[in-house]
Amino acid sequence: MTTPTQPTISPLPTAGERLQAQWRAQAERWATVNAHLPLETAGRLGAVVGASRKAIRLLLRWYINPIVEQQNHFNAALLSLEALHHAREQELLRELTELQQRVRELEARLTIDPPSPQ
Amino acid sequence: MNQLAIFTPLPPSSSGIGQYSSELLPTLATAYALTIVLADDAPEPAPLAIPVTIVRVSQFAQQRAPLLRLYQLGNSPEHAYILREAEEHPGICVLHDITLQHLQRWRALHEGPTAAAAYRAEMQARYGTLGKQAADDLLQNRPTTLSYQQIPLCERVVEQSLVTIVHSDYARAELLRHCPTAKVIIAPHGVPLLPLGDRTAARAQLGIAPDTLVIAALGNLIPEKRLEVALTAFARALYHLPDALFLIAGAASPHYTPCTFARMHGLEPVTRWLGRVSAAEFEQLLTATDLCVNLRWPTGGETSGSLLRMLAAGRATLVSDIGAFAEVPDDACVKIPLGPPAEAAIVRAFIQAGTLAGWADPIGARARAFVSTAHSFTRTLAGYQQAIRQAAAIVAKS
Repeated sequence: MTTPTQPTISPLPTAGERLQAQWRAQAERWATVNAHLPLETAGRLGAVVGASRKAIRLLLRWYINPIVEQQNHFNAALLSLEALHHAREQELLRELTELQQRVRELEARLTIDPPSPQ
Repeated sequence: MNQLAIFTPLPPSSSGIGQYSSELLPTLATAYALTIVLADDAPEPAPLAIPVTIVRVSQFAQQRAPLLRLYQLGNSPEHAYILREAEEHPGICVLHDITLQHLQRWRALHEGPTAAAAYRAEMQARYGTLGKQAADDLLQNRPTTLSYQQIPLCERVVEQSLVTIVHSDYARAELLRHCPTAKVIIAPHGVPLLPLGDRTAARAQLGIAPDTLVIAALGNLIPEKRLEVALTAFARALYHLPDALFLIAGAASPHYTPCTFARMHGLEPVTRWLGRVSAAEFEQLLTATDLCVNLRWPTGGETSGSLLRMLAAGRATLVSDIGAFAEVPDDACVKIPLGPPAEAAIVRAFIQAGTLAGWADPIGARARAFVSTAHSFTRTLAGYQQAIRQAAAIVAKS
C-alpha cells in the first residue's frame, strides 16, 4: 500500500497569496475617496469653468461630503475586516502545520513501535 | 586625570543617549570632576542633583581648558556637534551605535555643500565605488541598495579617538571588523534598578482591566523596531485571547507611521497610542504591562536603553535573536528568530503569555536579576575608568 504524502505548506508565498496581496494593495490604494479633486484652470475659459465648478462644489458640499465620509468609513471597515480575516487564516494555517507535524511524528512512532497484538 | 569634559545631550532632549547620560553622570561624578558640554542650541537641561559645570560648546572652545574629552555619540541630529568636535579634538568616544551613517547622512543633507562633498569623498575613500554610488544616491535623492551596516562611516572618528567605548561584545567585534587598529573597551550600558511597582494600581490609573493581557512597545518608534511584525502577530493571537491590549509609547521618527498600519489592519480598538511619554509615565506603563516587545532588526550594534529598562522592570520581553540582544541569557527573555518563522514565534509567545498563568513572571524575574549584575553602574564605571586611564596614558606619552 502506498501512503499518500501529506501536502506541506510552503514557506514562500503561493500564487494565491501573491494575488491576494496584490488586491489588498489595490484596495489600500483606493480606499480613501476624495470629493475635491484638483480643478484645472488653464486659459480664460478654464478659469471661468474652474470658478463655476468651485461654486457648485461649495453649494453641494452639505450633500456630497457626508456621503464621501460614509464611503470612507465603510472602505476602512472593509479593509480592517479583510486584514483580520487574513490574520485568522494565517493562524489556522499555523495550527494546521503544527498538527500535520504531530501526525507525522505519531505515524513515525507507529512505524517504529507497531502496536502489540491484544 | 580627574577632570573630564563630557559632550552629550541631556533631557529634555529627545535623544535616548541624553537619558543615558543623565543616569550615568551621578556615578561618574563620584570619581571625576565633570564639565558637561551642550550644543549651543540645546534646550536648557533639567536640573541635575550633582555638582557639575554645564557650558555650551562655543563657550567651551574659548576656555581652552586642557580637559580630557569624552564624546557620547549616537545618530540623532542632536549629536552633530559632538561628531564635529570628536573629529577635530581626539578624546574618548562612546559609540552607542557602530554605524554612524544616519548622522553622517543628516550632516551631508543639512550642513551645506561642503559637508555634502566631504561626505561623498569619505564614502568613496572608505568603501570605493560602492560608497561613492551610495553617496550619489543620497545626494540625488535616490534610495540606496546598501545596508548601513556595510557602510557605517564611523572609521574616521574611531581612528582619531584615543580610546573607543562600546556597550557589548557584539559591538566590539563589529567595530574591530571595520577598524582593526582601534583601542576598544567595553563598558556595559548601565540602567537603574527601580523598585517594582504595583501592577493593579498602575492599571487602574491607566483604565486597563486587571485580566487584560497587556503587551507594550515602548521607546522611540523607529522602523528597525518592526512594530508591523509585532502588530500582525498580535492580530493573529487575538483569536486565542479573551482580552488584550497593545500599548505603544514613544516619539515616532519622521515618515514612520505604524499607527496607520494598525488602523488599516483593524487594530485601532485594541491598541493605544500614547506618543512621547515622560520617564515616570514610561515606568508606569512598564508596571502595567505583562509582556514587552523590542524586535530591533537590522542592528547597528546598539544596546537598547528601552530594552534594558523593560528587563530591569522584570518584564518578559521579546527580542530579535541578533547582535547585542542575543547576549541576553536565553532564559531571561524570549528570543525571536529572524525571517519567516518570526511571526509564528511571536504569536506563540503572545498566546502563552495570555493563556498560561504565571508564564511570563519567571522570565521577567531572571531578566531583572541579569540586569542587576551585568548592567550595574558599578560595572559601567569600571569600564569608563579603564578607558580614561588608557586615554590619559596616551596623552601623557604624547
